[in-house]
Amino acid sequence: MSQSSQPTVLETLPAFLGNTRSQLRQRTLLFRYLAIINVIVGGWYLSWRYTHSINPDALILSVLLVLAETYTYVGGIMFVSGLWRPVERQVRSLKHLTPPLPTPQWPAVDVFIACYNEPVEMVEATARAALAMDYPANKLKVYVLDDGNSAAMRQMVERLCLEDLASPAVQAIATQFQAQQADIEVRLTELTALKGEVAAAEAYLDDLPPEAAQQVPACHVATLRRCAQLLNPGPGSLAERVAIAIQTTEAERHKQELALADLARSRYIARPKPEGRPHHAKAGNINYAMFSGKTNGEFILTLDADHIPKPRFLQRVLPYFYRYNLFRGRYDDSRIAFVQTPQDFYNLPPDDPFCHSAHLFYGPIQQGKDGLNAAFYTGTNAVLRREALIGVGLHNFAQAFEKDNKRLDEFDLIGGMSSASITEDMNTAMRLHAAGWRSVYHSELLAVGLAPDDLSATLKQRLRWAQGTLQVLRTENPLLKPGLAFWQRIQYFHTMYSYFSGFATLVFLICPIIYFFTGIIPVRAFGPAFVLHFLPAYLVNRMMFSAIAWGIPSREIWRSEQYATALFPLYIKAVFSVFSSTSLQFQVTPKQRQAGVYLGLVRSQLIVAVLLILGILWKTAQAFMGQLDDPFAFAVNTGWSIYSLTLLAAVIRAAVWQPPPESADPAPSPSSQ
Amino acid sequence: MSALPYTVISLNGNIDVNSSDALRRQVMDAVTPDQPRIILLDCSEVTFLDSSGLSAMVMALKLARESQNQLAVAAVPTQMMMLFRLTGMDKVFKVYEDRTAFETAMTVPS
Repeated sequence: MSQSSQPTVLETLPAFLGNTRSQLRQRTLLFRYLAIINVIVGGWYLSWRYTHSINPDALILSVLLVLAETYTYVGGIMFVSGLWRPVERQVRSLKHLTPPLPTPQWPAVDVFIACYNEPVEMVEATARAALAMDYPANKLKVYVLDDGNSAAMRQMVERLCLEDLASPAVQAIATQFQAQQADIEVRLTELTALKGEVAAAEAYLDDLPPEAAQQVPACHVATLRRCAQLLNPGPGSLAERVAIAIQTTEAERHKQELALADLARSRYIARPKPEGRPHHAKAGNINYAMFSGKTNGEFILTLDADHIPKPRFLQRVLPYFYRYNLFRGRYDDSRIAFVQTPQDFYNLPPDDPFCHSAHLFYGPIQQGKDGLNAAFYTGTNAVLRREALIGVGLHNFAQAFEKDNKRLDEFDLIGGMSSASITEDMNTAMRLHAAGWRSVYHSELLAVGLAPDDLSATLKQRLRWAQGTLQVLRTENPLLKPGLAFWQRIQYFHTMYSYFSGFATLVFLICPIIYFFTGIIPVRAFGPAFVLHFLPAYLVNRMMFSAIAWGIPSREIWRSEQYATALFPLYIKAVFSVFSSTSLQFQVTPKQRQAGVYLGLVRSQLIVAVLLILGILWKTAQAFMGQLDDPFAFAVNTGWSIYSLTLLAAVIRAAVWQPPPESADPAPSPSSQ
Repeated sequence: MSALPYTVISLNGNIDVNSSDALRRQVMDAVTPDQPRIILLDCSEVTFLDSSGLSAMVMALKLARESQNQLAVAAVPTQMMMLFRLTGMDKVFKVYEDRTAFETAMTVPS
């Protein structure tokens, strides 16, 4: 990607005083200009559709089509509003903050690598990269949260731990700790030796007759006695004070020992999963780690098992969590609950048949959401503030507890990340926003992962996103949820709203089919009036989209357009499954290719495609026989059908797609910048 | 509730990420799985509670409940009470004014 993914590094701008700055994304004004025209022309088209083009002879179909168009138009307005103020952020790395934040004050960070039956080597690569991040060794811990509870994974983590303990970075800290410990030992030995002597000396001082104290050498003794009393005010004799000093030093030694033991940075947590009780999937896995008492970092970096972080990850992200208080001369906590960074993949086939590239989402869309303080937390490549997560989690737990106090039994699985939805990430972010926490989207690519490279896994993932999002609409409608700001409500609602698009798409696909076989059209006439109204709206819409997608390969934009339409059966299924109250299972997205051809998964799309093709052929045949009554309608419907077919072709092609034979996953080395 | 034996644990200082493990251990030691018991956390000496400390308290409550014990708190200082209210924990924990109020409740059959 272009400019936006690699923001200017502020440390290279020494003249700039400050640690963060943000500006409007480039070409936003062009976009706004086109967006306004788009909304006006679109509105004009739509009002013409309502007032002048409903076909009374095909009322039901007409109404369905105009409703589908209205749905699209309303969605478009929300989409445009979300892009109104896209923010590009720049930040100074943690170690270059001005004024500097001393290293001892840097926060402790826990890395949570959530996994569930992924291959051990994959998790190992991620854990290694996490340990190699540029951060003080005594402030970074990497936890593999293994929901599959596998012995091989545990062994890998233990092996990594030993290896890590022997690494130079950890050894340096260990040496430092050991030196401090040696100092403490020396002090302790001296104090212990003193303990024996001090009581006798004190007794001697106390018993010294006053006239003896007046004699020349002994007057020093009197001075000493006064000194001992004045410098060490407080009850107790000198001997008692020495005893107290020994106690404190021993406590210090114990603390130091613990710190040394705490240098084991690679750790394994597998929660017990008792039969017959809800486990709350990924949310449960992460919450268990938070409440198990085994983790205590101030910040949590969540990574999916395959997402390899770059060394500078924490350096680039942590500064957002602090704000320099100029009037008190120190850093305070900001009100930021999480910082999200982009997701990208290193195993994408050249033309990305499964539509995983998301530069539009991890570009203008996230930047737009950021501008409205509604950045989208996507579950990986993000750092969260533990305090925010727990505070909001406790609050939601208290509400659940009020309704049913049996929920206490699963507090450690539900008390942090939201467990109410199978897209726990999005729900958690919404709750944080509703509680008044702020968020940041930082557009620098800091971790890359693996995308599922078969259709089955891709569809599972998309279905989970759709179902999870709709679940949140059902349980915590953002339009009604207390605490959210107006534009945050619109942002969250738009995400949910967009998953109803399957129905609109169905209408758009069915209309030409009905025309081909019955001649019925859903508008009064596909005449010049239709073209006059439709064409400007369509062209302005395209222009606006080009302004948004500036710098993103057009092939990628085309691919997402194809998928948005072609996944209509999945979106319809998601709506039905959520609103018919079937319980939804969190489907773990497989990261390894499942071989095979998946035409069965795209049956509905195939049927529609075949009907469209047959329809075109049938009408063309009629045309040749001179039976075509309305050439305009034929042209419009054929054009629309061909366009639809090219959209549907994406998933059909993906269903039969096979990887090139020699493709091995080129895992990037963790040090690659 | 009144007939149950009880144990009082006095908490002091900051209840935060560093002390939450100790809190958990103290409650675990006091819990008697075979017979119902009330564990009272006397918070009069607590100087500060944060969200990690609070979650440790909820975990302690969970542990106690799992072995059919109960957990209550008494003499909650202002900052702690504010956090309780903010997070809704005042509805999760049984809160007594102070230790005497608790002991009175224990002796007077309700």
